[in-house]
Amino acid sequence: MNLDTATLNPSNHARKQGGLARTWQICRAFTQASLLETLRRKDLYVLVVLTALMVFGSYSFTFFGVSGLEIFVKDMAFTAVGIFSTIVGVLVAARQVPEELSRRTIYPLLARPITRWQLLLGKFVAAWVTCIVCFLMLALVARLVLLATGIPVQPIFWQYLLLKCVGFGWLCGFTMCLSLLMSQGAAVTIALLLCSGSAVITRAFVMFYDPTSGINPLINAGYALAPNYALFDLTKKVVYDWKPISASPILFLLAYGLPISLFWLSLGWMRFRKQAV
Amino acid sequence: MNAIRVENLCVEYRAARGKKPLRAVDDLSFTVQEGEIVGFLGVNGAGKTSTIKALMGFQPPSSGRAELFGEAVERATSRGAVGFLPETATYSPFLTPFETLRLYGELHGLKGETLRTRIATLLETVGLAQKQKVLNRTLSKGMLQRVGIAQALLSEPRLLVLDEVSSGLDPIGRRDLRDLLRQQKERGVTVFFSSHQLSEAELICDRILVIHQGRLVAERAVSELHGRVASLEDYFVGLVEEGRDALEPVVALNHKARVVAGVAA
Repeated sequence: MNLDTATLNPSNHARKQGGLARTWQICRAFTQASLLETLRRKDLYVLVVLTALMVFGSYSFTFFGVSGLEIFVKDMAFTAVGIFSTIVGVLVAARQVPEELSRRTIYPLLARPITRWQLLLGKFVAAWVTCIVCFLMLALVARLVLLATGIPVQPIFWQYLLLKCVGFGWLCGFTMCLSLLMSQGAAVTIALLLCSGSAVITRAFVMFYDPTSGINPLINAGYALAPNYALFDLTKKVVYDWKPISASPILFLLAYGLPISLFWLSLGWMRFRKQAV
Repeated sequence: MNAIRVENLCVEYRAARGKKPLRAVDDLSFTVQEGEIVGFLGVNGAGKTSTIKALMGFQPPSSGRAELFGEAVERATSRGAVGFLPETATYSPFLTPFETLRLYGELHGLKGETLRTRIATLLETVGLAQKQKVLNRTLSKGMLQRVGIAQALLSEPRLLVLDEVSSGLDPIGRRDLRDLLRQQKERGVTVFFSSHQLSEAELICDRILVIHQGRLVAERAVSELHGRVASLEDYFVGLVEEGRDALEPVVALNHKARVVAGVAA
């Protein structure tokens, strides 16, 4: 070791813990690290290649004289994007805190003058941004392959992208909450099961809804807290070439998405804030 | 001013249903003055790491209180002037040492050219300048420990808390670390480190605290030991195995009782 530490100055660096700028800096630092880690893991590239192969594979039926496959190819493309991005999202969110614990790097993180809420929020933003980047990469590949095969996609595609990005906020908040309450493996399994069964679970609340019943507030609350991941998914509308939907449902989903993501994150924080690490 | 103040600290871990909780730290009190190098010594399971976890806010104490520079450890700002090195940490295998330090620096509120310059200096200091752009997964355990030392020094702390600091370092690395700690002391930095490597402690400490079964059993200036006991190891073994303080031969130490002799706080 070269022990010339002349520039080290033992001055105090006690810094204020609060403030939006400080929280923003924490979120940015975690996001940068999370993106670098995700891009250096090879699994994302495997999924990108797999998406392209699946779309080309489904299009290849046209070479055997089968026509009218546009809907089928689009369905394959956006289903692949949806499934793969959900898997990546769950895995990224579920590893944010448990991996720091298992690597014991949680100690130098918590030894900084940051609160546990700031740590968790930073990790949440990092996971969310990472999910969005991965999703956009997959969607871009699918879109480019569809363009190459001459299959048109309607403008509702942009609404699909927007709502999916909001939905990843819910996915990250929910999965991180689970990962703080149980083991990483269990959190991944439950999050994936609930995401895939999301439409069925939320439909159950709709079925039980009775305008004359006194338990409607409970059903409404249950519906709001249910895993509403499918609510943010316009895949079928893109596949079947719907016109763009009106602004009000989009705005409602935007207004619902962020608070519900923070609700799940806060639930995880309540477990984490006093937890011995 | 006290860099560290611990008062009647107890740390308990939950046990299986029907069993009593395990008390890892039992009514521990001590202070560390600014500018001291203090070794926190004890056998495995003595309660060293539990005490440090409580000091750093990783483990809420069951009772008692701990302060860093007069501020309760429950407050995040109490760690603003503290650098911490855990016993073992496997820094992200997908980041480079430079990126790892940038992350910790930004979390500390550093940014821009100041941060970059400080990282470059520290990587040079710990001998990793040539490895700053390779992924952490290619580094050896000792090199990762050097990354850890760099992250602990990154914020130019007034207090360094080091848990089993020399674990994973080769003899050269341990010697360099000793020199580094001495340099930090010359700059007025307080160093509090846990270890069961007594020879290390003897070489660099101003003072030692010996903990056994969660209780403080001795608090001595290292200068007191010179010429009066053969080595720190002999003194330590006498304390924890035979329950006697070689510097106070008349008094047989009962580990269940809190017996602290020597240096006044």
